[in-house]
Amino acid sequence: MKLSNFTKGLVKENPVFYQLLGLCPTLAVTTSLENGLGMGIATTAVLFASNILISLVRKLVPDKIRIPIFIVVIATFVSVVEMLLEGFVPPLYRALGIFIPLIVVNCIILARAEAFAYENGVLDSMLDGLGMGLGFTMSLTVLGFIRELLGTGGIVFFGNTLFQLPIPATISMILPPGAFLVMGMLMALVNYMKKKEA
Amino acid sequence: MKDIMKMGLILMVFCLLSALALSMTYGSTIDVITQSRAAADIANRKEVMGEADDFAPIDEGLLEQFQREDPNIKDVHQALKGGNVIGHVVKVSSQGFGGPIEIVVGFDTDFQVTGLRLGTHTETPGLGANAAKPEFYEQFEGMTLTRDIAVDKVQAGDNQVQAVTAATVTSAAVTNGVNRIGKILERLVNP
Repeated sequence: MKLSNFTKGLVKENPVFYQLLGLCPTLAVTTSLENGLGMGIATTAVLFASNILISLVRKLVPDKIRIPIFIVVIATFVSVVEMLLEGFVPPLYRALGIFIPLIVVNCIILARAEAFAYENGVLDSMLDGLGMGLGFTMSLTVLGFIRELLGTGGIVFFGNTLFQLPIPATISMILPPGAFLVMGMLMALVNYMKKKEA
Repeated sequence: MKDIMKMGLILMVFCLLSALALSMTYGSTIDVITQSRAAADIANRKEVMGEADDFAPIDEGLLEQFQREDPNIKDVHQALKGGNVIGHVVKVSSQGFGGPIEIVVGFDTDFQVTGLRLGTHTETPGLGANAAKPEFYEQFEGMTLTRDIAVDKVQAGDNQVQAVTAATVTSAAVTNGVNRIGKILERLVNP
């Protein structure tokens, strides 16, 4: 068990800015801080548990058919979680429920199963899932923050206005072009800082 | 050949287990989920028709007539106040951007919209999902169906609602649902 399996996902191998995984939901849902954070948390929970599941069954999975099995396991797990959440924790379901269908098709989950959980033990896979999930959450929260701030001129968090900028809002920032612009600039920044370090 | 059989069998075992897990979860949650959805329905009805003190489902025969006109109609309730019918509340699903959107809409006896809420939907968070916020749905209150409610992207004029930013499809889906229901209701309960 190595702690680096946890920390690598945060910055060094950040799923969004380094591995470029899960870009579709990343670009689509980061229209606000709240949405970015919600999607991040829901993904972290699924990633954490699916990594554990996959590393538990990996010895039983033949190499040739691992991808269909991963997909079956992950899709089943996500559907089970969705039903349990709606049935027993409705407030949480109302907050995160709309993100769940997006997670099934999120390639981060499959990529981590394939690249890590299939070849490592349960504890390491757990750390990997948690680290990658938190790295994903951080990236989405930052993206959502910048886009909401510039696109609406302020930040609203669960109904409370945190602050308001004295500048006019640029609506295109919360529309698709804004997603690409902010994403590109953040990616450039992250890579620039990484290069400087090396 | 032997290999293919073995792979097939292993895959089958995984799928069987997955089906088992899904059906067990479904079986143990469906009751709670139905209940909480029914509770949400009741709450939605009260919100779109604040004046009513009771709601009664319409006759099954009449509901069938509604559904023949539009199979997307889920249910129709009479809104009652002190025993008198003061309007109708209709639940209908309308095709949005990410799948069907459930719309609950109330009409008074003059076919004026008393309120509108969104039920279950799978619109994109941050874009289409914003139609479930008061800024959008409150616009429908008080609108009449003398002519179709229209969607405008920039500024809402007379009998128009302003579309949710970057969610034209969602906005149109909700608006068309209301127009469609209004016409059917006018024809069937007020012949």
